[in-house]
Amino acid sequence: MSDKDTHLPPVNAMPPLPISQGWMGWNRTGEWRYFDPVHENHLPPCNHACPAGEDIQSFASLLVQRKFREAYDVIRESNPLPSVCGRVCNHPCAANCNRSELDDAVSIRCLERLIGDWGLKNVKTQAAVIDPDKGEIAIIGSGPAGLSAAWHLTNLQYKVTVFEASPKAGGMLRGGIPEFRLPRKTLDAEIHSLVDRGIEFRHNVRIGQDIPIDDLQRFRAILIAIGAHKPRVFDIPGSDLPGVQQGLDFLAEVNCGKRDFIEGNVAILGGNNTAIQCARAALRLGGKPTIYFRRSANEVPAFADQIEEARQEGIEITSLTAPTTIRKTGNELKLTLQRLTLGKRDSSGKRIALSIRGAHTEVTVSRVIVALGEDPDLTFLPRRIDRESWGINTGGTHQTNVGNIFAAGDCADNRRSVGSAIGAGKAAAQSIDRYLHGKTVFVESANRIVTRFADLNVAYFQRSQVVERKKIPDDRRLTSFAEVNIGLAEADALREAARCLSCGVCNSCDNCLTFCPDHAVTKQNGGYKINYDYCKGCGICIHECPRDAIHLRIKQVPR
Amino acid sequence: MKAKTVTTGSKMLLNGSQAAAHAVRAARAEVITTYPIVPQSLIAKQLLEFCSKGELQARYVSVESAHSALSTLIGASATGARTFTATSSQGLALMHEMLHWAVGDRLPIVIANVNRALGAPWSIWVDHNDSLSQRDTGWIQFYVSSCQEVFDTILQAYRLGEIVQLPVMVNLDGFYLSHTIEPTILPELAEVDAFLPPYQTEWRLDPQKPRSIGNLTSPDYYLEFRYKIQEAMDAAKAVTNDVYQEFESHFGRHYGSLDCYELEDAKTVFITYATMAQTVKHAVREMRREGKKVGLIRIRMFRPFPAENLRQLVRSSCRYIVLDRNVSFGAGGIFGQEIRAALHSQALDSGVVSITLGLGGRDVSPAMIKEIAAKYSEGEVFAGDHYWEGVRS
Repeated sequence: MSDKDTHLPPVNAMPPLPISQGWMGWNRTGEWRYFDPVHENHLPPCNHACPAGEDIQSFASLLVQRKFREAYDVIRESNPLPSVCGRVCNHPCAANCNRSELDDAVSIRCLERLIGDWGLKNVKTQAAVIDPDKGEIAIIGSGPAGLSAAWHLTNLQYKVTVFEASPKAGGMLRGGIPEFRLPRKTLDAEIHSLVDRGIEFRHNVRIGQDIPIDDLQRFRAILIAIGAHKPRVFDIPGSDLPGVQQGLDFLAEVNCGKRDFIEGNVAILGGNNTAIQCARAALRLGGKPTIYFRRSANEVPAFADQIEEARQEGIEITSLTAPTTIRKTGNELKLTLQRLTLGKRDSSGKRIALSIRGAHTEVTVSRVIVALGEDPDLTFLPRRIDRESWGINTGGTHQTNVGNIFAAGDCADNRRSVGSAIGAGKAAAQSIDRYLHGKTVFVESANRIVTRFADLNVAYFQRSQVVERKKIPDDRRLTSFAEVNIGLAEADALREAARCLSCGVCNSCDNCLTFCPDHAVTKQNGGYKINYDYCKGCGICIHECPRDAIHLRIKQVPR
Repeated sequence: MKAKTVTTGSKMLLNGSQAAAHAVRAARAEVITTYPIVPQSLIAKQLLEFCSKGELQARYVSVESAHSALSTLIGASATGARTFTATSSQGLALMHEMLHWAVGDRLPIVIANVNRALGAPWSIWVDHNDSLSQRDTGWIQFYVSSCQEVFDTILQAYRLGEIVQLPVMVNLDGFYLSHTIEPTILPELAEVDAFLPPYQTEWRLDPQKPRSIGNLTSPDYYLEFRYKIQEAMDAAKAVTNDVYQEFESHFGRHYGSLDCYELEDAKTVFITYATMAQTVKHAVREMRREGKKVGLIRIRMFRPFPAENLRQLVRSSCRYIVLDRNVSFGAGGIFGQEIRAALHSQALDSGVVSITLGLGGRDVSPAMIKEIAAKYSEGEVFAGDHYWEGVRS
């Protein structure tokens, strides 16, 4: 041993194993780290897909905890009409649910419906506090877009007046959707909650007819949300015969209670949701409806669940057929149909439907119902407002070229769904608010990262079957306008809510805390805190997080 | 082995795996891990049964690999728990890194390794290259040859390991021992408690007094810590003898690190280990009846290697045939090398013949032993060489 070594202990004075004589906390091993794990929620794909931006993960999680009130409030932050949407929305949320890659998508519509119905039963909506200095807003039209905008503007403390041409609010929800999909009681109750909120409704006022639009200039901003009610032109020989009727007119009659018995075959022309609903309504009135659709079967534009329910009810959809003439013989109509086939693709990639020479069929029907689509009726609109092929042009901002005039819903975009109208109403409300605060109005773009299935650690998830809504028995279903779908029982809904994987959102499962080899993760304020003095940045927490709620950040080097 | 009657306990028909599990239960192991591998899995099964029935109050941890099986025990043992795992072959190979770690942290973990040949090609049958490949890790190693010895040696392993603070590997032959039933005496648990007190150490992790073990050690200290492991290994030779005596006083069965048979006037002596020693013993008995002067030394403890004990038994006038169910490629049988090295200082190694045989579960019969005795006892064979027996020509 050399002299310089003499301060070191002799072998016999050393312990048998390398062991510290005290706590090693001074050794800040976090200094080895070159990237930081950070608890940070990403956007669940359901929330991303929802046009109204509903926080689905949050209300599902609250439902599991039986916090119905909180769940109701979470939905209504984005959407004032959960009971309506739980029934009629096409739920792109579920179509994007990551769980569908594991087993079945969560039945989000059933959860939404249950929470909405719970709210209608248990919550009296309180009047909003209106700030008189913020001024008043006029909304033309009380369909889903108008109602949604009214709700969000009221929540932003604006005084809102909704002008509705019909005696009752609801727009397409009332005129275009039959009771077997959406009971009037539910619609009325949900609209009433908006009245409770302090929104003023002026019924039977058609702007441009009863009041010129320029009379609305006392309002600080005007939102046009008139929907699309003008049927597309249907002009074939015999299209003006009695017994030939527009689908929306037929539905409007049925929906206000005109329920005349229909005898014999009914031809429905078209493949959109209106066509399907007309067929289902005609069936319930005693008719034998058949849907004739111009394009191929997989191009039927109606929602999948609508098509499926119509098929369950025995309604046939005959694709690749186009009407050519209608003749009247006695009390009956003879409808001639041209058989079509798919030809070459056009510039948009769709195959062109071509007539098959000589391939005609004739059907004998009592009525022909035409549902070829609708456009907004913009005749009342001043010329100075820009238009697009499908309606009012806002470039996606919901603001027209006239500063204080805005537009949302079916009259301003061609997405044509209740959900997208509600989303557009919400976005328009935000645009109006920004405009009135002198800020630029812009197209909302999600800048949050969406958690996809591949981002999950599915080892932590067990497979389970979806709990879906049931249908009423066929004898009632086919002969009355009773609601077809039965909502989930509470216990089933709670079970279904528990199937939510909480993609991208921390739900305090403790995996990060359990797996951290350095005990650097601790609980704090209902979440987690990482002690970067000891976190070595191994990334185990990131990997073991089942739901993509911890992410990697390159360590910030102090300058 | 001297047969003494046992005061208490019961005799049961057990296979080697069950005997191992019973020993772990009797030793009151507190943390057990296993990862399934043939032919070890019977031990895991029996232990799971004990734990699930509450007959053994241990924390049984299912792990995702043999590596984790040992890593988990290292953590558990560092807190002062008595620990156990069982493995075989590839499992032991996967543990290699952690075998070193257990030694460096001086943790008296006990492993039952059910010997099985290593792949490739796949084999599930016995040879000893799995455990002999780990000879330099610092684990104490025993090779046993009966079910009773499995049970007894595991108890001795805990006692010995906890005194010298080294981990112990008890090796038993796959199938020949792990799956073969023999009458086995199970002592009363109270008697085992008297022989094997609870594990206590001052060097344990305790949340009340946070400390770190096995951390970065500078060149100023590493050499000393390694020296201490060697010291512990040397100490183990003496401590082993004490443990054998204590064991005999409690249970009436005598063990040594070497086991001798018919050595007195022998001209040819087999040196071997594990179950092969039982076959050789049988063959020696028959050859003795034929008037041949043959004998047997069975090596029970491989690490630390009982070199001094061996030197006392070996005579220069005698031929020693070492039967190795293993091979160190490019060097020969591993026991052969160890024995030659042990005898070299006294120039006793010239009579040692090293033979590799029986790899991958190839049967070694008494007839084969007799043939080997005839072939290698005298004549042309150069004792310094390494031979293979049983290779088809």
